Amino acid sequence: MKQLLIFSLLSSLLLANENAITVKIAEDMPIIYTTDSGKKIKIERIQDTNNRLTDDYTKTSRPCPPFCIQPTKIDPDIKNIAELELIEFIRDKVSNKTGIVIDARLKSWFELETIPSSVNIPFPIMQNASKKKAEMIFKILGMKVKSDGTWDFSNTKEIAVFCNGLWCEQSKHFIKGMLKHNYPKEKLFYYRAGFQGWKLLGLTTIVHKEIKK
Amino acid sequence: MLNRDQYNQDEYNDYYKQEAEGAEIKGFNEDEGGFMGKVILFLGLIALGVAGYFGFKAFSTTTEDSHTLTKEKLVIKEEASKTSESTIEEEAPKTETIEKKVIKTIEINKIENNKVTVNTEETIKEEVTTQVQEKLENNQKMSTEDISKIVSLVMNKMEKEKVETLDTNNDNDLLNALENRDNDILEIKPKEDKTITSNSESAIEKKIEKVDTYNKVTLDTDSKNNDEELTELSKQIKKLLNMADESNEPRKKPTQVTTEVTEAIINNNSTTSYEKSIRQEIKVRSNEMRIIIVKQGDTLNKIAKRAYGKASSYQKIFDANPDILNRADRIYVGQKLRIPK
Repeated sequence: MKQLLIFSLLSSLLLANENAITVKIAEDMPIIYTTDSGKKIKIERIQDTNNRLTDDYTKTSRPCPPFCIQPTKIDPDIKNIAELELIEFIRDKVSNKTGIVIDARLKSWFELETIPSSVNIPFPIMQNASKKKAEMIFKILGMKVKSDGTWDFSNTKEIAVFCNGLWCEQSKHFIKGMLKHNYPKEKLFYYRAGFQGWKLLGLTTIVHKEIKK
Repeated sequence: MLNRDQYNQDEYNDYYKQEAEGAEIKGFNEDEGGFMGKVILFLGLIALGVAGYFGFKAFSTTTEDSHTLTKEKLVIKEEASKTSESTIEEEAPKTETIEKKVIKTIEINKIENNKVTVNTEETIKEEVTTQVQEKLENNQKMSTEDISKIVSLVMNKMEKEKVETLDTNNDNDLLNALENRDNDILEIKPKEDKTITSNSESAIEKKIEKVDTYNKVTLDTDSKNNDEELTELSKQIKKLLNMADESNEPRKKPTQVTTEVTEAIINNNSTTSYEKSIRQEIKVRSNEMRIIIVKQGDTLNKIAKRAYGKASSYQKIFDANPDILNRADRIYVGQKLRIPK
């Protein structure tokens, strides 16, 4: 009888283990890991199934213009991505250095809270960039300048761009700035749901500058 | 002189006594003990089967806790990718060495007809049955230690051999599946995953940052630990942006401003009305995002007075922190409370 009890205990422990993560990212993807500022970050969802967003990104109405609902596509040739594609992008492309997630919002937004592993390039920088400035940014992103002075984008990183969400046009300005200087469209991805979409799913966020009082 | 009758009587008594004792000890108990032992072992086997079944199910669906997963799986990936004969030829030298390990470590029963199958259940059963049979032959009862040994054996086996039947008819599917598996491995036990990428290797050594109740991780961006390419890239961009920021402070070092920075000045000064709106919105957001760290002697009333000027507004703070505060009169030093606008 003693042995039987031990066995049943062990098997129930095994079963309990299966459900350790209540709120997974996806059925076959409970969590992922990435890095930000040299630190290892676990991207997961809030496990409390009663959790509600309180203040952050719960506001429904801002004046339009300027905060208008954005069209689905920024450009017909630029792919839109959603949360799972972005998470896979972070997991696969950011980790093997072929991709980068860009937070196109102003620095102060970025510092308040952002998506793990993202890098901030405020949209005005790209929107208003001269050729020289664009060259500097593109070089950081892997672009090479050929001997004849032309730009070689073959090794540039793929870029996933996001801003505040469906009501925010900062990504649009950023992407248009990139396109103005011929950054390859196939290497640009637009996460339209943006930071609000990310928050709504209770996914891990990064605070670079905590506001204290 | 020997009294014959007396002698026989003693001999008879001794003989009788021994017989009675022997029957008592060996006879009855032997039958009963053997039967009970067999029943217990039979039940044990059934329980093992059940535990094995559920255990296998649990491990095939849960990826987070298979803490000894590993090179072998990566190895399987190499092996499988070899069978796919598509883009993997360049990895051939690696594969050859790793292939040997595969044969030693994992019993892949079949790699034929584009199918990789590992017969997990059978090998586990064999192992367990041999152990149990040994016990049966020696007529021993299984101790708790034996049981836990067998169970741990089952667990280890399942962890090592958790490779489901993979259909390689579509090579991409297989590779994707294996890649996902590797990613899972990385998530579960990064320390054994050094062969995947140098990036993951460096990530492994770092501590996982703590997350608060809102699933937020607060990072010190100026940390000296920053050695990764992504961080380096981020730094370069920041530097570039700072050049523009610095250039916004006019007449500081006018002679050192380069052409592109001058351009940046012009560009950044051309702030649109949209930018102005966003900057205003960020103030609102900043107010929404305020947090306070509870200090010694703090009460919600005191905090409310500090934040809103009215102690009676404590309810606002209480409502904004449903995950942290259960009672308005119980707050603890070090708690981070959200202070809404």
